Amino acid sequence: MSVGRIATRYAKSLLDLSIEQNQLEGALQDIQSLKSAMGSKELVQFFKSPIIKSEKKLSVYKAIFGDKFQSLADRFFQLVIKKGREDVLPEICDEFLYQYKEYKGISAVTIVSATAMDDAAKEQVKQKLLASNETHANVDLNFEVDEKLIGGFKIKLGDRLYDASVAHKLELLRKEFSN
Amino acid sequence: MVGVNPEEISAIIKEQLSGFKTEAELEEVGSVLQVGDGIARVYGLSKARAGELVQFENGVNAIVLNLEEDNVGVVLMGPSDDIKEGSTVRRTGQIASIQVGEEIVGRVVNTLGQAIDGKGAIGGELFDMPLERKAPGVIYRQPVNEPLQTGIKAIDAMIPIGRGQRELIIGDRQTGKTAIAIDTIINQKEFYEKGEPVYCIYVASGQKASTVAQVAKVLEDNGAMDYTVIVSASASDPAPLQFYAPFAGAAIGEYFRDTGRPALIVYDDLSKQAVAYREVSLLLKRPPGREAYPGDVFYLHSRLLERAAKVINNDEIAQNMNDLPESLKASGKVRGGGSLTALPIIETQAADVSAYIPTNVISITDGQIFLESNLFNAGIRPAINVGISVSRVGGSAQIKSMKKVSGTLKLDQAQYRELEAFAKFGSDLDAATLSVLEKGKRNVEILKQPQYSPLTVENQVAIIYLGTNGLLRDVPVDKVKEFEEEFLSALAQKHPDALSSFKAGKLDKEHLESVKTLAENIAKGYKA
Repeated sequence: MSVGRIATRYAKSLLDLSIEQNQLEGALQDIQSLKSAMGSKELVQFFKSPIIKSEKKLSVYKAIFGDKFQSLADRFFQLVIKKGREDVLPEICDEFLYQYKEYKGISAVTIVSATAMDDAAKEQVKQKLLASNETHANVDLNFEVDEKLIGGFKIKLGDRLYDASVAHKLELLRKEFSN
Repeated sequence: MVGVNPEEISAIIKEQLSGFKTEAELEEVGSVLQVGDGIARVYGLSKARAGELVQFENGVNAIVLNLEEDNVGVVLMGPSDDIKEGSTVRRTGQIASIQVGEEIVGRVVNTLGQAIDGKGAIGGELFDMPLERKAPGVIYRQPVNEPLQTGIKAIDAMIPIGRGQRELIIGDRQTGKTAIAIDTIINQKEFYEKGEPVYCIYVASGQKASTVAQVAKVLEDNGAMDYTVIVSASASDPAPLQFYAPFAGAAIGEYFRDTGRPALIVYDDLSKQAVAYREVSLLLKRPPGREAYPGDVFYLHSRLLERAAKVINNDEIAQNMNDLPESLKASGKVRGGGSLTALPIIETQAADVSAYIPTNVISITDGQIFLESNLFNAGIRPAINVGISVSRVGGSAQIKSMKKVSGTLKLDQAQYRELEAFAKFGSDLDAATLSVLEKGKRNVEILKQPQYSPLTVENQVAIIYLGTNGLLRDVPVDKVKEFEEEFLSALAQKHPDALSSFKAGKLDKEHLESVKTLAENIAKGYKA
């Protein structure tokens, strides 16, 4: 089975159960902290290693995280490790965050601009986005800066892209002339 | 840069700029999860449709073949060097197509329609012809009723091919399959010179680049490139280019077909194309079936060959044909009466025609020409086994004179082969058997034909008339070739009126009489 599908199913089960038990925000926090811990490359490699046995992985998990997580998330992570799916943990975290946002009606939007935007501009972008009807009622904005754009901005919304950067326009112009 | 006026340059730039839109649009994108072996898996692109063209950041195009739950599988139509995990892929909203125009004739192009013969880009007015297109529906077609002359006696007399037909050429390696196709293309020169060209397309899929170069040279030397296009995806090209090459060829053929002109397309060869398709399918993790081919390999070939058609001879109906490309429709160039004749080639392994791909293609086509290596080695070239070769629609596509003359030929040869085994017993045979054997032997000689020397239909009628009427009985078997040459040159000199009446489909008594007398006179000189 593909990694994507495994992650989807595990994430969905955690989401459903946490909604049922009214522990959604707690589960979200735990997933987020596990995700930030996964920022360590060694930890990801350790979990992905097929040579290390799952008992060993489980004891390492307990040693690192101990009782930092709430019981629901803790049991979930232990189950994932017992089932031998610990290698998909990073994908499960991403998928959970995605499903959480879908459930809450939040659109994740990434805005890349050539120079850093000030707060007024950010607010303006947010209002425009909400007015466009392309997003859910709530937006989770994520600002990035990429000098390669030269000027203008790019808005990424799921698998849609609104590219109003100077770099993209120059590229289009180049194509126009090469034809 | 000599004599370029700076004002002209700025005028051109201005013109190009005027059509340039600066507004940004909402695009649909995905990111590459995995790339390799000429395919990529892309996350996102959730609205992409099967068969749609998508574009990578570096300008390489790809075609969507697999739509899965959380990703799409695409095949790359170019090098994958600059494509990395995380690269952006954009939807184009278009289906893959190639640009075809009048000036593509005489060129060698790749699957994408780009010239690869070093003669520069293809100019003139170009139309977008989709690679994958539905075949014309029933009401836009008419029955095959015109012959497509191959110039090969054995084929034109016994396995006639009509314009719009699909006739399979099948045989082992080194039996002369490509030679038959090339001879057929060369024979269309007659029509080109008459001003009614049959446009030819030779598609090389998975062939050696040296073979393609050789074919191009032969066609060039015989003056056949003036009306021929070569589509080449050689063995070193990526598998997607190889399996789409016949579709590109069909798209070019459809341009001529839909503008009311006859076209001939040779797919050389579909077994290698099927192998390329198998490779792509397995990489896309489609389940393998018989001989590891995917389940839709039959559909791959049937939809390709179904595009060969004779379009109805009525401009008004033809202009409403289904799935006409927009650019062609808008140009008002669509006419009725065009045709696309397909000659697919299949290479068998050790004469095994019951393998998967050969049986599939045999069942799709309107007949097949079997070539056998033992005939080839016995000196019977073209090595056609006339006993098992058939043409299922060709009979109505023969000119009348040829039909009458060759009517008994196939039967005569079948009888001859049956009695051939007895020939080994020597002379203690009755006279009737002996005469069948002698006639058969001479007919076999007549049907032999060297490469690159197609014969016009009127000459074929004359010589086959002699064979079926036993007028060669005084000519020794090993002198038949010599006799044929002498007879045909004498006929052209003395009775050109007979030849032109044969060509017109007439078989007058007086002309036949003069042919008979001429043959008898020449045959006297050969009498042992």
